Amino acid sequence: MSVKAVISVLFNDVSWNLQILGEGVLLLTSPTVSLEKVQDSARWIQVLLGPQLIDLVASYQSIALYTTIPIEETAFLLKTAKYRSGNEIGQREEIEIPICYELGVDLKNVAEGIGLSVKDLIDKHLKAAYRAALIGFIPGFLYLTGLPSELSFPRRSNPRKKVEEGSVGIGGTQAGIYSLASPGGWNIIGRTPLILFQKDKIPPMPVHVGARVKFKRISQSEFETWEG
Amino acid sequence: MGRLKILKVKMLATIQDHGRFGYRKYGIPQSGAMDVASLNQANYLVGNRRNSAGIEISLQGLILQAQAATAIALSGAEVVAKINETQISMYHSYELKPLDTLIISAPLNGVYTYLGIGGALQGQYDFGSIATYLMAGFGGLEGRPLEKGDELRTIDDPPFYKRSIAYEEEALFNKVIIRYMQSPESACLQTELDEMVFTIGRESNRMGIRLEGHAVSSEVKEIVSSAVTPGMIQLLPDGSPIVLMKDCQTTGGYPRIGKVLDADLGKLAQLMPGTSFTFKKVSQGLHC
Repeated sequence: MSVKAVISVLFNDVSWNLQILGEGVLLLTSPTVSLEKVQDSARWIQVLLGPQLIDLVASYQSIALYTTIPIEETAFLLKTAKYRSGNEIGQREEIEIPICYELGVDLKNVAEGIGLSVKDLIDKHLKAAYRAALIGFIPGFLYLTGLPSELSFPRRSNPRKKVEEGSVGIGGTQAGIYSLASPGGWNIIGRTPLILFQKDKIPPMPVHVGARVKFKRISQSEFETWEG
Repeated sequence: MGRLKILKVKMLATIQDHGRFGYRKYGIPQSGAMDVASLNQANYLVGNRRNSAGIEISLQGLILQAQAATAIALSGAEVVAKINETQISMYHSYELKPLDTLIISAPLNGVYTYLGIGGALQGQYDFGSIATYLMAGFGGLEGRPLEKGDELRTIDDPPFYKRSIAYEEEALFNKVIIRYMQSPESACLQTELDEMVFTIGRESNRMGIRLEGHAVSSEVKEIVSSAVTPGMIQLLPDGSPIVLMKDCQTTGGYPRIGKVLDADLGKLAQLMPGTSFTFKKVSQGLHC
């Protein structure tokens, strides 16, 4: 038996590097894996480990597993996992997120900065198909992939002390939604009345990682009278 | 039923337990006591279960008045404490009688003092924990710090246990060593962390402890967002390391250059700003 910092394990047709992230925390990384494959692997791991899995953090190219069993045992379960029944793959979630561009405090600045009219910016933003990639930063903050490359825009050099809840922002090449009022450095192009995170609801979010996301434009009066 | 009324509080007193687990997938931080071992001791002293909630007190002191007979004990950062006019010892349980006043000074040595209260505290449970997380208003009393006029009540009325723990104050000027293990981006470092002396920065809080004294150079400045966990040593773009603490976010984009052992995290949390320490690497790996 030898002790290695990193071992390589083939799981779900991906070659993953396994290493320790913390006590009882195993990190799986693959520099070439697609986001879809990460999320698919995460779903399979949840079935595979069942109640032995305390927590799971799936990001763009990695999955962190918090387990009750020794990390070597987790590694062994991944390495030997062969059979997979089809029904483990969850239904593809789709969600339409209402957005009011009139409440985008940085909308004009961003349009100017990237050289588009406000109308063209809105059209391009509405037309794109997004996917919920990651939840992090603060409880419920949703990172989206799928932002058209021409809408990339750098973060603000001086972050705001308070960004309103529901703010839809652009941070570099990423799009995202502030689930709670919080400090933040992204440029805000709109705001959704949809409550993304409610601590007393089970589950606390109406959308999960992997879901397809579309934006739907609403007016300011629709925003103000929005229910549910 | 134990009852304590807050007569005076400045900054910062919060209800904390061991934290919340199983909700990182929603971006929910672990939270919980910065120095778990000290919280455990306070709970032991008042006869509570290990994961019971206590009050974490930092920066400034706290004055409380008992509204009913209540068992209490203090642990963690050293304070001067009195019941009415009489000075009491830390790591010792006491039974407050109705209208007794408990006066706790600001920490003299250390950062986080724990007040154990006999019985299960009433409060707001979110995601399985009463730990206060201020950013999202989770746990504690309505998700906020304790305020003047708040009343802490226990659900049950446990018997009083006369208990104490013999403890030795760590000698001043003792060399502090914090053990860590390697992390995914450790290899990017041009110098080993062990060879540098770091100082605790003033801008440290429940989310992270800033380390000063050395700029650390790394070949990698940013990574694709990936999981982080309390104890993780991240390297900020300006070369200063930060040790993520209990309220830290679940993912991060800065290089992870080490992970402070859980066993030493409470000790690190108790180092006051300006205190120096050295890191010591502990080998860790997968047995295969």
